[in-house]
Amino acid sequence: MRGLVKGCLGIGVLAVLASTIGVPAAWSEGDVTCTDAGFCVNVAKRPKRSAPAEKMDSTPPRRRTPGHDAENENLGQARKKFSAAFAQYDRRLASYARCVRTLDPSVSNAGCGSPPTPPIAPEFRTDTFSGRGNQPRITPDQAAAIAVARLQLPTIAPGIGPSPDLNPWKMAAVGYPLWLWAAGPTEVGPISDSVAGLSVSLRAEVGSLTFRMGDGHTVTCEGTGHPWTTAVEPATKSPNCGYSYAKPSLPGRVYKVAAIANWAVTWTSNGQSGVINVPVVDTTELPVGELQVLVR
Amino acid sequence: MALRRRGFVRVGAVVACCALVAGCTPAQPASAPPPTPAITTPTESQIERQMRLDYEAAEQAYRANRAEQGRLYKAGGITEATPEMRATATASYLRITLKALRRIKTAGWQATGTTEVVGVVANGGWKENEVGLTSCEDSSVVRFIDGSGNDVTPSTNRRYVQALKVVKLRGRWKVSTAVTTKVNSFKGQPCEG
Repeated sequence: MRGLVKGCLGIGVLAVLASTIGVPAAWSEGDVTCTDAGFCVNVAKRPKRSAPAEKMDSTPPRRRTPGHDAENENLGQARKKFSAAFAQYDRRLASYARCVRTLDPSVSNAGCGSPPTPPIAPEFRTDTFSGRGNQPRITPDQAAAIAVARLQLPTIAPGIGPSPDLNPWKMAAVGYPLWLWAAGPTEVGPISDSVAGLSVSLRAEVGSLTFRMGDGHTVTCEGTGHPWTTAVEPATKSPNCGYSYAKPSLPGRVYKVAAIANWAVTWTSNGQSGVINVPVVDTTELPVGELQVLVR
Repeated sequence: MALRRRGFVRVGAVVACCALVAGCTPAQPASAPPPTPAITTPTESQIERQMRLDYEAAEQAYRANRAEQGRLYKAGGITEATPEMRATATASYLRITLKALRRIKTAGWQATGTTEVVGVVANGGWKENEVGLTSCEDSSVVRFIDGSGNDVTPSTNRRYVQALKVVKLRGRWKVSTAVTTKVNSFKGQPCEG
């Protein structure tokens, strides 16, 4: 009997575990936490409902008049709208970051398909907040998030050298050490912005680079890589960020290379500070062929 | 003298590398590789120091929690969270890990082997009381044995990249949430080790 109970319990657990088996080998959609036993639970929460407008406005009205009530009502509505818009923006930003970080142009369905565009931060309509005591309640990290979104960090083209344009075949060669770097600005700021009356100071720099090489391989480099120049001795490997292709893309194909610049934006506002990581992606195409030489 | 063609031989790119680079007949000796910049240690700002300490403390809490989970799986699960679990985890992460350990206990299973934390890196920005970590966890070596000695290890892929949120509560860092991505290999992952 005891054995039977144990058996049934075991089957029960197996059933629970089996319910998690139908998950593809690699996925990142949805917020799921998995444990050692393969037991996975969906932890995605519904967004919290916005607090009632009266509770969000901690400044008590000095005098209650019908006009003032209407003003408060408008303010409450505006704040409610902003809270909802910000929550939506936050989710889109998380989704965007996930798409960029997993983007691989060589795999059609990786990273949500094509290079995503960052979401647009919610805007304040200042006229809505023009009444007395009507400063929108916004936290420094919300202000920072909006300021970072406004910053529009530059995309960074994948720097790959030596360029295929420098040789007669207009291609990179299998086995040849390519140098990889960030071919664009890697620092922005310090700059200041004002969001809903809060001053935000920002400084952004690229902390690391991730290159999806188009052949299924990924190269991650700390820093921004070392640009290749014509002074580099042939066949020298990059000191800190490089790659050699093992297989050609040619004939007829090119490798689609994506460079993901991982920007770290440090913000300070109202005595608080933090870092927001924003990945930005740019792509290029690289023909890679095999060299054949004549031996006499 | 006529050239005698022996044939095309595929060789490593090194032989032909010269031709790949513009101006492929350098008369002068090859120039030196680009100078390596002198390594200097910039003075750590107060915020950088704070970030470093927070990430270290958060990683320590996560690793302590993982070690405790490993111990408890081997012990055959639990019904209530241990003080060590409560000290290092909170919210949905604590709830889910506890739920899994309870299931193990109810089923009378025991684990052999321990999940390997292949690597942990900072991720997702830093706030004064919240940091993000990405960890690579390999649970594929953990086997589960039922009360009759049968191997009941699930056949699911158990190589996880965990996006962790670690929060500071009353001065203690605790793992709060984990979003799992199953991977076949950790190659190319930021936490690959």
